[in-house]
Amino acid sequence: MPKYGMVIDLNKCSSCQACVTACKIENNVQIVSEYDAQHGRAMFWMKMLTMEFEGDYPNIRPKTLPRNCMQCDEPSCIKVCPVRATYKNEVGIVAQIYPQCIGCRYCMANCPYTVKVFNWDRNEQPKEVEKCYDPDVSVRPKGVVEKCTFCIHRLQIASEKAKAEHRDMEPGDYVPACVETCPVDAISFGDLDDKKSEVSKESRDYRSFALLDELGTVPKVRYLNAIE
Amino acid sequence: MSYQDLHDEDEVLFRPIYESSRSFYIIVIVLTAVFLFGLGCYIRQLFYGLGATGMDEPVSWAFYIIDFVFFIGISHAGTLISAILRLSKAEWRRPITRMAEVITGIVLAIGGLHPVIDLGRPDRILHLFERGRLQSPLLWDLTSVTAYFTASTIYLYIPMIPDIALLRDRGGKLHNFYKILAWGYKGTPKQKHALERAINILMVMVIPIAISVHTIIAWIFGMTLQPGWHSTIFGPYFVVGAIYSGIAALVIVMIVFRKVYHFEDYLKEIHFKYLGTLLLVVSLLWTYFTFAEFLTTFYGHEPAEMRVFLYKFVGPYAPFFWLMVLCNFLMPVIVLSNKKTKTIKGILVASIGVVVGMWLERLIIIIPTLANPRLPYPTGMYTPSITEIGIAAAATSAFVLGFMGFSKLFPLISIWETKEGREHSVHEVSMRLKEYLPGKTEESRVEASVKAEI
Amino acid sequence: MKDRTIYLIQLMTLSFNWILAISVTLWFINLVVVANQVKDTQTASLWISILAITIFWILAGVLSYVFFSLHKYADEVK
Repeated sequence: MPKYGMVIDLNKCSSCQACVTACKIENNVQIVSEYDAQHGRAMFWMKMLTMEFEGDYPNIRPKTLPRNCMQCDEPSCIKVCPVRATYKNEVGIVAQIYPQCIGCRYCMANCPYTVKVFNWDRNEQPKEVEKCYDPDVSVRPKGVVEKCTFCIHRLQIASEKAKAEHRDMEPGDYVPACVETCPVDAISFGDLDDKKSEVSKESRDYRSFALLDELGTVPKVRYLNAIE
Repeated sequence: MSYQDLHDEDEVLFRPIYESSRSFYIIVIVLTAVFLFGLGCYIRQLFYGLGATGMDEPVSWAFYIIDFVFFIGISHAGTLISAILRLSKAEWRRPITRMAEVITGIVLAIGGLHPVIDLGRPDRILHLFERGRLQSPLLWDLTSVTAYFTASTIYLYIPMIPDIALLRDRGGKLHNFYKILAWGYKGTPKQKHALERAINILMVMVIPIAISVHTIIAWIFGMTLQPGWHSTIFGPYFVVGAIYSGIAALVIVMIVFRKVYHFEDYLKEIHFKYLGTLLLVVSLLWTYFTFAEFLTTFYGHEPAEMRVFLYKFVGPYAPFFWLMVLCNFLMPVIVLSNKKTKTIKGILVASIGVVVGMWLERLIIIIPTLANPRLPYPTGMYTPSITEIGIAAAATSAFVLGFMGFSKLFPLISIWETKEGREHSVHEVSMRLKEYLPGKTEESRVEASVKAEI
Repeated sequence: MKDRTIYLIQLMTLSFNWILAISVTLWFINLVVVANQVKDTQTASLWISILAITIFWILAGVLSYVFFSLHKYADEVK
């Protein structure tokens, strides 16, 4: 079984937020009302975090970091879920079963990366948005927690396709939407166990680091430090 | 035969069951209105989702969870205190235990409902039974709260059986109701013995269950990795806080119902003085725990922990924090350690302060941690919405209504224990006292010789 | 009301506690079975279940002890 992981090269990343938009459209993430957005309920699975500012005004240079779910190997969200609504599947993806979630938000409180988002309100989208829904991803009702799943529906489609064509899955068959969209190829994705894959090589690079590594959650999303 | 013809020595204790004043009904109507308003708020929330509350992205637990911890904390008033007092043979417990146990029962039912109110999908609550995962502290909590509720209602009910039998023997409209609940109690020695044995077993069982309940609630926070929550002393810290707020709530309830139902002859100043001393001791204990918790955080100076620390000490939550220190430490210690202010009024003021302070403590534990995630997110100040305030008001009025309802069905002060105290304990205690002293008492010599003969 | 009906109602109220104890037991057995099926947290589930089930059964037992001994000794001469 492969173990999917992701490496984001901060040297290449230009903070254009194409991944953020692509993710939102791909996964039917709810577009919340203006009131909710102002009150900190905007929903993003992939989010651009401003880590620190370098230099003095007006010559500031923000250091940003695209952050999706870290897909930890030792996830703290699974431990606390009272109904097994979140679980780690055989390829290492931490997935969420929306119809099983009771909305207690314990996983949100325990995620050190704060990646989980909650459907605070009823999902009422404009007609135009409803037309563009991705048919492969379920639309979440109010009151459940959701998060990045490494576009797990793409994995399902790719593996079915490979099966139909009587072949094994190849490295390029399955990539999440953010990886596909990134205009500067800053995100590499693939099997971490395959020593020859690009993502595996990059994850062992001297620039590679994981967010909050000291907590022992063993994230499968790693970053390559930006070096001038 | 009407109740006016009956003349018991403790007639005052029976009176609230048969007589209700006009103001009683007015209070009931007002509280019911508040309760219905809260119910309406909840129905609205069911319809619109948790968006009706003031919660947002980093602060995903707020008012409901604070109230949950707070109410469950109050519930420790009862059973735990009454069990400890019974176990230590404190004779002054007699008029107190019943009220303490009633508080526990009612508040547990209310507090236990709060996590359900907090759920995004209460319709899926049965998933807990079908697919529950026992590693989650939430399930431990569900189990321990249920166990505590069962234990404390049994512990309330069994010592009440003789009183129900007294009420049954007096007749009246609810004769059959009392007959069912009295379980055929007639006060024969063997029945008394069985009852006492059951009370002794429960008294010992209830203490660990009660402690486990609040420890587990603390673990809901302590088991996470979040700064400010991930602390080993959280279990005992919460238990101490729970006992603290519990005693304070008990004192308030006692003073109010003493005034309303004219129990002055039963709840004397000495009872409040003893409870005041207990409150003072627990206050100092609570302060010690708080100090230990914050000093280690400050000394360690870990950046994520410090953000939460500063948020509490000088940041947006500083007013609440220092108000909590005032209410939970300065005010009670000053009032209760001074002979001049340690009157019933003074103790009442201190207790109200403690209840407010302990609510603030729960607020200060829960929100600043959530508002300061480890990664740099924009943080905002959390403000509760009208829905949350309405439900909190409804919960409080449900508590008062429940207590008032109870007082109309059963005596608020244990009658048989008062009688027992009057008839047997005076003698027993003086004997016990003599036993503590050097030299043999006459009775113990007699007892020893009787034993030797057998 | 007849003594017989009262006794039956009393038995019914007592049985609520047993229903609670038995349903808690069934619930925990179900959780352990589920944990075994998905091969996840088996030992934790087992130990917590044993602890919880014991407590509920003891509580129900104490209540039943009181009930039956009160009825047994009710007719005893003072």
